[in-house]
Amino acid sequence: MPDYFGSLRHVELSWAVFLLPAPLLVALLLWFAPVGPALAARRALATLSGALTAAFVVGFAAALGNLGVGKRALLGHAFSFLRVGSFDSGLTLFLDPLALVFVLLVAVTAAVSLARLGDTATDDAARPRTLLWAVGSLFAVLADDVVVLLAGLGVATLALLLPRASGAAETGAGWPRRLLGWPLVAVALAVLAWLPGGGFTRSDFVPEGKARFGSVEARARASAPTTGARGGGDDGFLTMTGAPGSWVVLDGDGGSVHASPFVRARIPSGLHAARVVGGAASDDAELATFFVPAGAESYIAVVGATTSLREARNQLGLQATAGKLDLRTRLRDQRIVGVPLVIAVLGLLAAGALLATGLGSTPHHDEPGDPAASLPALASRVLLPAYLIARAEPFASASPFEGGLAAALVAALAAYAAWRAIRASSAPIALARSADALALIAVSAAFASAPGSTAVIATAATAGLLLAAMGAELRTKTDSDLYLPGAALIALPPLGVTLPWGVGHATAMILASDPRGLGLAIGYALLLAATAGALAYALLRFAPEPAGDDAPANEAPKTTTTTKATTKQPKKGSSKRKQKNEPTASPDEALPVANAASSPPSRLPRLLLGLGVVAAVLGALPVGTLLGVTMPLFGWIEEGNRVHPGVAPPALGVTLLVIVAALGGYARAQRARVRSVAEGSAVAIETEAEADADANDPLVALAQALRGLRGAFGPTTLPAPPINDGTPDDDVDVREKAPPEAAEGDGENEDEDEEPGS
Amino acid sequence: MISPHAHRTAPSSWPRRLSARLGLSLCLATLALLPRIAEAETKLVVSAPSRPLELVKTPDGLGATFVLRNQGDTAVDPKVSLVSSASDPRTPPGVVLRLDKGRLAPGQERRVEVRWPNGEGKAREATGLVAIETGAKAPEMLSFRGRRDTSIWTTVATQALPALIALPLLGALLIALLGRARADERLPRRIAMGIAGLDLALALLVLARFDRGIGRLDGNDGFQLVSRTTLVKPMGLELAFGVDGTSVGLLATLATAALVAAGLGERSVLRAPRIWGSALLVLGGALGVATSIDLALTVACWGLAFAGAASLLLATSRPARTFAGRRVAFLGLVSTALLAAVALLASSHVGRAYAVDGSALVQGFGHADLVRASFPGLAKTLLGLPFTAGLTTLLLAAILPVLGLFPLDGFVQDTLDDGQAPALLVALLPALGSFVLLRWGAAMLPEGLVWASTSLAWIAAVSALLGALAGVRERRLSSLLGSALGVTSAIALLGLASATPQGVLGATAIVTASPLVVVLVGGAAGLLAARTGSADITGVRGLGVEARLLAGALLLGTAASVALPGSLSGWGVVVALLGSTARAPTATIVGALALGVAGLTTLGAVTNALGGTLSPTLRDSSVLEPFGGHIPDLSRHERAVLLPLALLVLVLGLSPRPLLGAAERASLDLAAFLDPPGPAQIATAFPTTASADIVSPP
Repeated sequence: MPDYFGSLRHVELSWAVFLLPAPLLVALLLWFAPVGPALAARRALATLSGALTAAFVVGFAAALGNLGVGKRALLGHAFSFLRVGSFDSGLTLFLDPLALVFVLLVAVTAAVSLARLGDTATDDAARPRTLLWAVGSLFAVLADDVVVLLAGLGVATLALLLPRASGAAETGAGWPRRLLGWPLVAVALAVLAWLPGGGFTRSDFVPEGKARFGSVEARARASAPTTGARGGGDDGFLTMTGAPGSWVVLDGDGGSVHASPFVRARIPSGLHAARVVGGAASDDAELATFFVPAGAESYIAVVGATTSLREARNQLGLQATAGKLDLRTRLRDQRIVGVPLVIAVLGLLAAGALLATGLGSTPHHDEPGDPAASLPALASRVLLPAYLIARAEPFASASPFEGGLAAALVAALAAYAAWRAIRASSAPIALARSADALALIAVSAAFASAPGSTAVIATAATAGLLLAAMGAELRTKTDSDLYLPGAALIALPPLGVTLPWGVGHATAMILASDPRGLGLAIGYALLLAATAGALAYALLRFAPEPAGDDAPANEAPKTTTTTKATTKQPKKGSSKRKQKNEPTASPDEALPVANAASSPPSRLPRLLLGLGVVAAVLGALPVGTLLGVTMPLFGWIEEGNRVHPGVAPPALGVTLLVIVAALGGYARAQRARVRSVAEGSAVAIETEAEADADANDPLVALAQALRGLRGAFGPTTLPAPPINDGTPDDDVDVREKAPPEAAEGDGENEDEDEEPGS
Repeated sequence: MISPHAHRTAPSSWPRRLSARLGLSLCLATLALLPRIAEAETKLVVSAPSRPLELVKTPDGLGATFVLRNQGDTAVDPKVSLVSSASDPRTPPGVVLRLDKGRLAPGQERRVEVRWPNGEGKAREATGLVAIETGAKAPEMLSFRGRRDTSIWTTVATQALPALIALPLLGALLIALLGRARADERLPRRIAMGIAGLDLALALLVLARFDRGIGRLDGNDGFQLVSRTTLVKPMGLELAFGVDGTSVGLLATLATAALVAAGLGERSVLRAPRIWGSALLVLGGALGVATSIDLALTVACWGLAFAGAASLLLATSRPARTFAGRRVAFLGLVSTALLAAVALLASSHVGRAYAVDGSALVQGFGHADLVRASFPGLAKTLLGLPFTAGLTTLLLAAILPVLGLFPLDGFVQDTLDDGQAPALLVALLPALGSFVLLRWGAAMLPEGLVWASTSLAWIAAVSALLGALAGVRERRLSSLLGSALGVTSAIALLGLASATPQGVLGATAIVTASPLVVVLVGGAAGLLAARTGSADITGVRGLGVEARLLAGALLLGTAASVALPGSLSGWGVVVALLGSTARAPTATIVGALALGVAGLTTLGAVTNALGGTLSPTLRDSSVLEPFGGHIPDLSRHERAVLLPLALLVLVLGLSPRPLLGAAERASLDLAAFLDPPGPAQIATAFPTTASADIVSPP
């Protein structure tokens, strides 16, 4: 008798998964290689690497498609990092349709960014950053365990922190949000890793004390072996993909030995005993005798705490034969302040990821310089939170009602972001807020674990990335050709039927008394309409006038402020204070590229248009499904999710609502535009409160006080003495001289000395 | 209803009954005591070729014999047994005693064979005790030792442990003598570099010969390459060395750090012999702390390391350094005194302890003996607390101030301040403190550490957060890096306080990685300060363009010092946080937040210096004038020292197992002390075949 029965995520083993990050990694290494190809060739290789990765995605899509419904997942294991007790971390990559969609988005972002970069020193500084970001992001997306995921996010973050030739401060406004975000992500993932193994009390973790491995009989899902495995006669099949690097010894020391991961290893049918040998730092685990039927497949699964989100998800589908509570029930019953712990943790994860990736910031705060070089930062904001929640989504399904409420809450936040987009005073701000709204939609969809959520997430994330990129481009360019993809975007909400499709599902679920539908229906209906209206408003309101127009909106403002994105870097501190009160340059002066006439022809709008088309195609996939036509690609992405009966009417209804909202946005924008032209007012680039955060940062005052406390234990901040003794050294002839007094000579630093609390 | 036989079974009268029972008892007692009375006249004499008994190679394994001679008047049945058990295996599994059955007549001899057949157990060396009941009050103990692996490399590795400490001390002595002789001023540094190189070679050899699969249950108390020599028997002082998973990686990283520090210390200001002599004292002391398995020796090495550190800082005769030197001297004095008190108090309650030859000691400082001592069973109090809690309080009072936690992290910042490379060795002391806390606290005083765990977790979390916040808008790179290193040190404490295998492994990994990270980031920061003439990082811009290699080394070192996931320190921090999440989730959130603050402030400052272009003020400054207004990149010599280290840190960050994997088994063992297994786990871990406490002779 097996220890458990249920459904496990089927995977195929393939080393080829490591090919996905390989081109970008090779390009990155070549970029820094002391010898090798010339600079021009390295640039070309870097550009090619992004496109090559995108091309690989197509190949993998075909490969996954051949695996059949429910089996579209590949696993590749290279080596183990560390292992002690239930902690088992290794370089293991996992690719399923969700991961593939995000790999595609990361690859396209990298390809667009790299293709856009030129041959200047600035561009050459941005190139390795983009490569490093892409490599880190790909590892984060493909990671099977949370440690690699965190490491990937860490590398991607480091890439965003790396210097730009433009010299803008990377950790300017908004950094307190970021520093709050990553630790929350780390702790939330750590709690998720422990949760399958027991329960948290107020102060402690209480392990459940069950065996670390268990035999599993697949009952819920067809477990027929593949074609290659058929014809086994009296043989059965054994699969184990957890705890990579462990050894399974069957039937005592004389039996066969298999190294995990292995899939469908042929073993004689009948009763078997197994021992899992984890190595020096974990005790061997003896499994109870289990029966392997002829021609059928049995599994050995990890049970309990695990750093692999895939294995945790597998456990959610298991039920113990001995009558113990299953994981799903335990998760539902664990509460903190009345909220299911798992929902609270996922909320922590979402909040951390959204904060860390800069939700709510505007392009000119965090992504100065060339918009192409800024694309990675924008993409992180839109893609990574949604992906993290989507990956952890099976946990939310343990508490569907609260998951639905959380989805509604996030959807309300999305609606708020959309509202801020409508209220924005410039196109970049409006687009940034719209991107925020779409990022939150994606997170909301992931929370709700609605049928079709992968398509919803992918569409929302793609559209959000596109919007954010447009926002960045608008900041530096007033070229009207940007409005080509903009026009495509305006059509996105109605075209992107994925989102209404999700609402349709939600409504249908309400009718079927499924509690998740409540949050979905309210949230999606609100935010879709608001986002569509905001988009329409922003794009029309701030669109450049045709040539010969008398009063272009972006010219000759009367009252405006500068931003950090100036060609001449503003001084910190006092310069920011000046920004508050003094009218300075016009927005166009504040932009690196003054106007359309002087700017070189840009390829970015076309690339953005391509991205818009991808988003539209993704979004339109369910159309056929709604109309009763089989859509193979949609079915492929959704892994066989069936369309809920009764989806079409509400979905089409919401689509109509969205179109009405978009038209409303147009109308409102038209009125505002006419009024502004009539009044001769200009568009001001919004200066947000956080731009001056540094000046009045309470953290700075606290830091000063703490340094004072440290000073009480000794003078640790004595003036730096001359370093050398006057005698030239052998290698570096740094003579004894007075310090350069860089701080005194540089006006920038003088300004910084005047920080509050100093 | 009353039974008809009831009256027959009832006693006739109580005096008769009492007298009958007393008589019977007397007879039984006499019968029981007779053999003992006879044995009291026997006298077994143990005759061994050497003490300890050396096991030599035999066709089927290792073996040695000793002889029992009955010098008494009556025949005796000799009782000989191994002092070992499945749950406390002093001796590796598989070691057996072979003794012919039967009584030993007066004047007769009998050979006893200690055998360790091939294929039994995983250990490659065996040490142990044989208990022989000779008729005296306490059984006579005969120790034995043997090695399966007698290859030249293992032999050298065994002798390498004392040599690791002896070499730096000899080097310091040599430098002192040369200083008096006024020899070549470059010679002290070269001697120091040579000694550090030799130590690194030996440490790598030890690492190579270390078997990672061997844990405490495999015998020898989990230690390998053990060498013991009695120093002062009446006081129980020994020169005892050995390595386990927590220390073997630390040896290699400490020696590497010393070599790099010596390699970077070429500047003329560092040519004073005292600097290099002191640096060697720090190295010798640090390696001694890592390898000694005797508490008295550990305390001595601890004091030596702090004395060297204080002397090193005072040798530069500069105001800031003088203060730092005095501070380190004070901290070292206090912590050494407290550690000595802990060692003395613990050793006086050790119970039974044995010297290397098996003779009983009045007072034992052996780490293994103290691990076995049952302090919680003592009724005594210390500092008004139960004895274990009081002892733990003393230990924490000795260690916590030197961990580099806020606000006592000033001495770490001082040592990083102006980039004098030898002083970087002083910044390794916090790692040493964490190591002592791991080894003494977790293994010797686990109940005490668990008692203090909640407080420790919050001390770690709060000090980490405050230390990180103190770095906000900090201008001095040394202060930023000092704060970041303090935060990782606090996370190690948080992991240890969690008492989970993951927490302990994380703490061990942080300790092991720390020397490499400190010298990389401290070395790079020092070189930058030497070039710009200031420790103020905010005045530097364009480093990524001006000095790419230096910028790369600084960035990599900074990423590792703030424990960015995927960096060398990142592994320890991630694992420690994972472990502490289970036991102190709120403190973990605070600790993680501190990491975020430290990471963003430190990385932000460094990346800001890497970007942009060099300011005209600095470009035109007199410091950069000799270099044409540019910050010079790493020289050939500096490249040769710093780049291999940077590459090592990078590679070990991507694949940490070659270095940190050695700690996996040891962490599990230490966690078992802190969180003893439940009945189910014991049943799994100790099969019935190994359940007997004393392995009786056949």
